[in-house]
Amino acid sequence: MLVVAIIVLTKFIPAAPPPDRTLTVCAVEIWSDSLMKKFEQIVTDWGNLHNIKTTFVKIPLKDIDMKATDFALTGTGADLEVLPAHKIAIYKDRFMDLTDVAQEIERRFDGFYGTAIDMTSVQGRFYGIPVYAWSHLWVYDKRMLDKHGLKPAETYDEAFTLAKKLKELGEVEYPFGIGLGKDDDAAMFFQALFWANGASVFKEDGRTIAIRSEESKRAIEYVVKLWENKLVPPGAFGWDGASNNKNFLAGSIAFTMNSPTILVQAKEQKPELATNIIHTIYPTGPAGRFSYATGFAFAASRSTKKAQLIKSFLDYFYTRQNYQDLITQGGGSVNPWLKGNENLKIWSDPQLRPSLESLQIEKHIGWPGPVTAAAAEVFDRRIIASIVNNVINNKMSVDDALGVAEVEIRNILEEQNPVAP
Amino acid sequence: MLSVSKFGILRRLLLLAPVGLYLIFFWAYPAVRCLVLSFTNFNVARSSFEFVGMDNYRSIVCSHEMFVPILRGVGLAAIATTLKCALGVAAAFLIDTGGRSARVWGGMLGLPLFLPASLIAILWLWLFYDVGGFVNILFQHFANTKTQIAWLGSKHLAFCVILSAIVWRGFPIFFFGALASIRGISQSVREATLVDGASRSRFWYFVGVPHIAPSLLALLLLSFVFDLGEFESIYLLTRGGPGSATHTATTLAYEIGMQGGRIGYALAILFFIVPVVFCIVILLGYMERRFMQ
Repeated sequence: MLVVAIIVLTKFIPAAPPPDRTLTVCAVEIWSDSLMKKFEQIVTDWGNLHNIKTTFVKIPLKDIDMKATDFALTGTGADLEVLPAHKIAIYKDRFMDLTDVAQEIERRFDGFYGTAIDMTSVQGRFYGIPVYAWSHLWVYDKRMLDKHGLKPAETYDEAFTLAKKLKELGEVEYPFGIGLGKDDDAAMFFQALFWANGASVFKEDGRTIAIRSEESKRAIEYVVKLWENKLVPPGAFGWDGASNNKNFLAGSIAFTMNSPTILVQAKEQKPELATNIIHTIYPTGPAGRFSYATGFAFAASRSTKKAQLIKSFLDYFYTRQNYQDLITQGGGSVNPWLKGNENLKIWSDPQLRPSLESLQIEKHIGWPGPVTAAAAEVFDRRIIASIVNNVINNKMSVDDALGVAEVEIRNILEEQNPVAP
Repeated sequence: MLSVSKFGILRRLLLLAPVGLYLIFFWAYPAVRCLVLSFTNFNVARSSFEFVGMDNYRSIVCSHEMFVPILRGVGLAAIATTLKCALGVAAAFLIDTGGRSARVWGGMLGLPLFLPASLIAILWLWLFYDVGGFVNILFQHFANTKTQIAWLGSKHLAFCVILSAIVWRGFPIFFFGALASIRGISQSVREATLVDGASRSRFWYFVGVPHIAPSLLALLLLSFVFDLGEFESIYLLTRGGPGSATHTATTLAYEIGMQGGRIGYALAILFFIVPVVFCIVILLGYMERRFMQ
């Protein structure tokens, strides 16, 4: 009876397509539903065109580190995955060489942005194909500024003065709305602040530790000054990635650093605030104007048996029509990492234009050195944030805190033992 | 032809085979492989790795940043387990002495068991946010102040918040375990102690506690081991911050392994907990034997 049942059932269960007629694409879930839908549509359309069964899987942002590591280690879960771009250069030994595909795509457009190339290629070989980047901008509540005839800051010193003025005028208790803990926005802010002051974690060779410098001290003292003047919310050390969004929407801070997600949320929840949001690129410091690049790139496992399918899909994905539609559907939540897309209609919106402009000042993990595993680990483990914590909460001097950080970074460097490309 | 006894042994082995195979493939092999990898410099960023002996373990012992979280995790597990046991037993005693309505309320105490740890962590975030968090709203209302308490921004308060989430989630296990044991005390024994003139507190101390102690010891061990491996509450609430003030072995291993790619080193951090677990197992076993005597 059992044998008969199995035979009958197998007639109704459709056979799986052969492995070389399937493709699974994973992408990190961006907060733009329309972008994700467009992404999925591109995958499905390609599958229909080539009679390939496709699956599109979205990865929650909070799982991206684990998923990226798992994909690099095992190559399973997906055939093609959109990963944080810096993981490509670090895990290059585990990914397929896609140089020929990248060169063709560059030929179609006007090339990739420099940061995109730095994060996805090593010694001229591409191990991933850059897709898009998130911009990190300064987000202001225009109403608070206009009421007192104030303007967004052009320099970090102006930002401090602006925050102090808003506090003195009683506009808001804690104007400078940035976390000081382990959240992503704080990490990107600290990194940009360091670069703007001429400080960095590593030197150009990617192996010499440069954290203990006058420039680093100046950057840390800036943050300490913000804290001591009570310009930053007292709970800032415990903020997560959504805290600055919530505080901004609640009107309890005057400005913060974030991607355009606050604008997206404000349009849904507080339309009046949405029309009063100003975005600017990062202010200037003594060493220039910088922001931190968060980008994403396609990667495939080196051991994949679907190289031709993957290349065919990428060839379809990176047609001008598809790529520009994808960026447009993002509504400003992502930047194109390919040049030649600066004239899309969305960038005519003055609220979104700074997002595109920030591409010019972005730098990658480890800059001015190359992207290395050590630089990535220092960033991911929030070593710079721990310096701030040691000074403010653990009452260390800035020199001592930098010294502690230097020891930690040295340990990381010794364990990671990066070989400069 | 097999003898009857050999056939019996073979049958037992065949019945145990599925469980045995499951344990070998899904427990023993991964555990042994992870242990072996903890003695290597296995790194996702490198295509090859080498045996490094005790280097990982030596580095952990010599590094303040690595060793302190391990100790902190042990401390967190010990405090959380103690609090869970105390709360659970106290609640069980109260419910047992209460009437029918007490039993209804007692059933509701089991609610945390049905909630995933991640959901409880998110709920705790909602309670303890500095701006708009429910606890701060209540505090500001009753204290008539605009002061915000940085529950997750202060290292001591953040530790307490994490502890409260773990205790709230886990005390129902002790509650139901203790209650089940208490219900096992026969009515005749209860009446006899009352007739002999023992007060309620003396009844619980000389009869109740000895009765529930054996089952509690087993729960203590299980709870301690689970709390040593606590990850969701800590990672979702603080990610080990502020700074590294609430890092434990699990969150630190995640940072180093999943974000840093240093899998071998991360596994060494986790295996550091194993001797602690052995010590606790031996201690609790000794306590149980003494108690039974």
